[in-house]
Amino acid sequence: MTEKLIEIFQKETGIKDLTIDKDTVLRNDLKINSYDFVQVICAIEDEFDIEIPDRDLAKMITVGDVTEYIEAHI
Amino acid sequence: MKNRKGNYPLYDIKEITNLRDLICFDDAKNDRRTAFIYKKNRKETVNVSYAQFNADVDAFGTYLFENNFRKTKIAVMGENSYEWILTYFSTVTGDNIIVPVDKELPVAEMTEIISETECSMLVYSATYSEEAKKIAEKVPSLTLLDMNDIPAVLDKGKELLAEAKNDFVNYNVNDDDIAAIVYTSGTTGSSKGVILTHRNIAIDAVASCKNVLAQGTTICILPLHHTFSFTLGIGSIVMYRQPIYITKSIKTIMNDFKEAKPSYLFLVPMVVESMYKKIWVSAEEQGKTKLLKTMIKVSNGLLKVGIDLRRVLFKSVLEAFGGNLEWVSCGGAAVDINIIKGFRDFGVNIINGYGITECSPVVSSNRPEYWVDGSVGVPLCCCEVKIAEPDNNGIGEILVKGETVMQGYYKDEEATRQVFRDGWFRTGDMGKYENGVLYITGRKKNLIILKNGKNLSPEKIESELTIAVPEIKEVVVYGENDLITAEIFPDYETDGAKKIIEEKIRQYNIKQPAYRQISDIKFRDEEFPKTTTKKIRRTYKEH
Repeated sequence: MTEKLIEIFQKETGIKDLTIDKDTVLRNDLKINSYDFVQVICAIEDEFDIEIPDRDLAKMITVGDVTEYIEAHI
Repeated sequence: MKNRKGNYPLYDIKEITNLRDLICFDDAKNDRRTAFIYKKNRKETVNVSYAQFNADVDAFGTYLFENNFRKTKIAVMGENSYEWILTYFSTVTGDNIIVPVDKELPVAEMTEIISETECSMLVYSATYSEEAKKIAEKVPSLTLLDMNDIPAVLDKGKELLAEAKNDFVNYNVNDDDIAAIVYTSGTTGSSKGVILTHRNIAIDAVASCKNVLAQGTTICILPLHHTFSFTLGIGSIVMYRQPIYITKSIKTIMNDFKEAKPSYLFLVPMVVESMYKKIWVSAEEQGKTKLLKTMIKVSNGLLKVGIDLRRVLFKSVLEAFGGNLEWVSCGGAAVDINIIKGFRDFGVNIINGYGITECSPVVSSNRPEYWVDGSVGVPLCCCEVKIAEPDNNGIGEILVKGETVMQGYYKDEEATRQVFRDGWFRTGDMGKYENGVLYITGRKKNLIILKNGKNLSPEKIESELTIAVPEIKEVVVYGENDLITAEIFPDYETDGAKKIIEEKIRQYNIKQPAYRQISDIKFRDEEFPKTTTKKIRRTYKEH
């Protein structure tokens, strides 16, 4: 799961040599704004075939939050 | 488009002074051109003509009138939708006041706004039905209307019209009646309700139309509760009777570009900058970065000798945005000049402007064929702008006077008194006005301005944090790289204070909209420097 996420984050944000773990804070550590974050979410939706409502986005602060969400919804 | 040597004549547009005329003028009730386009579901796209839109406003407005919703306030909350826009116009053209509510706010704040403005009705989208019910529990007098029930309301309205209940249709809007109360951070401190009349909003829409000719489709992306999104993205485009493609979520934007093929957009810097980044990320993926850079050099060389091949050379780049994009009006915060120039290289003009909710909102703007980089352009024809007590560099507080300036802050005479001086509105923004062009140089007020256009009051967040996290002894909140940082002096007498604070801030974040979350925590070993009155000296660190 984490490798897949790294791949998505790299592709959508253009950040190379990305290292992330469950405690990585999305907006701060990865320096991505909320629009970039939405693009990442779209890619996650496509990859894992889930739909993440806009209102749930605010709950995703760390990479761990994203993986937990995906695991709970796939 | 070429930059002219000076400003050029304004475009001709009908002079209207209220929002009823804005949707009705020139026989719009019989105008079959498309007004709105939206996806009903994945497969079905709906087209609403200007005639249909007017008929729907008449039906909804009649329903409200005949059910005694007159001289009341109606709140609207939800993602962008046709129903949202319909609610707005049906409310304001029928002797009622609209209160647009930011759907991302915590329920307590939504409730506060709805209680303070004494709204009689809340029209909400089904996504926010949980919030709507919680608000109604606290405000029992509130009537709830789910946007999914609007078709039934329209049917009832049509029946009433068939029974010759024509009071709504015959109602004459007074230009100086209040149309909207819009909540904003205000020029200082806590959130305030900005009172805008029909005249304020209509004049701003008309003046914006005179600055920029809008032909073709636009996409309504920015949240409609923002005046920038509503006055420009809807008001001025309705004036031009052009099609508006409504997108519910920013998630679908790349597909929406391809479907709607917009000619122009209204955006905030965050989206513009991300779009620009995306161009280069795609080029990199395709191994075309070097080629693209070479093409830009060639294109810019050709431009110098008067040959503009940008739409041809960068066709594949522009295809990502639908292929027709010519200009983007950008508001809410400053756009990076390199992004403006970068988009210009591809043939897309990013028009930077300046506005403030209290001025309905646009005060000044560059124009598609006249711009001065680094500036926010020429003041709109409806505004007078001057600089108060300019220093040696001509910099001072920007003051605005004109028909777009608000009436005041709702139920806050003191705050209203503070922002008006001899009939001039004090924006709290610092700038200079040179050769007919306005420049923003900073802010007098203490606000965090994010690139998504949101203005946040640091004091409000600090006070919330202090309440939510008692282990914080002192805190200063500021914006850094478009993220919010909280610098904290913890109560070191509590064991494990730092860990507790981090966890509690995490809990605090979950309840906040993404843009208001604390992204970074910096701990201090000593107290903050203080003023003589023992207040934290905020300016110890300039951001």
